[in-house]
Amino acid sequence: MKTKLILSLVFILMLACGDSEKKDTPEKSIAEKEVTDWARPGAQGKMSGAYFTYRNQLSVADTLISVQSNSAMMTQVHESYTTDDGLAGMREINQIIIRPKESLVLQKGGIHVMLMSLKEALANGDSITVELNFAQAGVVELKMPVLSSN
Amino acid sequence: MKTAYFILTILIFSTLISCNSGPEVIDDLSKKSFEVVNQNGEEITFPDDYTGKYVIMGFIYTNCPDICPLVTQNMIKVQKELGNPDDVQFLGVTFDPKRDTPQVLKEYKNVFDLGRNFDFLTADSSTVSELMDSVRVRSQVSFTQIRDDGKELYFMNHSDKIMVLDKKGRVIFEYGGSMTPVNYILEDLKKVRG
Repeated sequence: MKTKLILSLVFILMLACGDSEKKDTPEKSIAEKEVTDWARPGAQGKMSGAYFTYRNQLSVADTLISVQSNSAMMTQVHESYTTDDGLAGMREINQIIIRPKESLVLQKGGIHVMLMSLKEALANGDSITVELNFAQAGVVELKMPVLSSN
Repeated sequence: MKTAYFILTILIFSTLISCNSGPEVIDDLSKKSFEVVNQNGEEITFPDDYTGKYVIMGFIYTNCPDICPLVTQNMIKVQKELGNPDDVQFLGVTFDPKRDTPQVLKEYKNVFDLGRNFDFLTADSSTVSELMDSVRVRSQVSFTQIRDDGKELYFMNHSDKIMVLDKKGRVIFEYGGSMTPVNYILEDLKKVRG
């Protein structure tokens, strides 16, 4: 009886071990990793959006005061939202506070950098630079690829 | 016995009806006619010129940096998943005809990696308004920005919508345009295309 019980336990343990091995996902290659910093393609004189993740490494809160890019005539931080009557809208955000050790995430359909009146067309494979002006960290330069299918 | 036959007949009849009914028609555009132009300046009568094809239609304006490109990208994903089929036409229709001329739409089209059967449409302001009213797409200027060179830029609040028309020009499916998982559209299309 005891032997049967022990064998059963061993069998269950082996199953459990096997299961945990299956759950381990192999590390993603660079190509498979999600690109978090990128910009949309856009025609000359038209619009583009830039998206990124920025982590505040400081031990104090920081504030994003403004953004700038040489690729566009005007650069602002905007937020896409749904209006009270159900329309898709967009509004400017003047300042964003990031708490210490936390991240600011700019993503599709949410907060984004709006590149208005592009000086030159942006095509898939190009890259742009966006300068972020923080109250504490100062100017942070982000270089990001232009991706058509992100 | 007669009653049993009667019930059986009713059951078979109901089953046949439900099998053939297809999706509910949301808007019937088949009796309407809109004179529009595509990005190449070619004149098109909508929806008549697309009769015999399923039409996947999204609503955009080219000065929109975030939501409208997502609408377009969603349609591109559907197009790629379907493998550029001949029986499906993709249309991006602007609700900002003042700025979105055929030339501007052509430049916008070139920005995206589009396959065949993907056109962008515009028309005169009154036709665009009439078309948008027919499919319950709303838009309004939300705010303006003055550039350093003094030029005014305006932005719009708008409906976020993709819809599917059947081969007879009737709207049979509608989705939130920018955030709807592409699988929903593909599954619905599979139901009607077989």
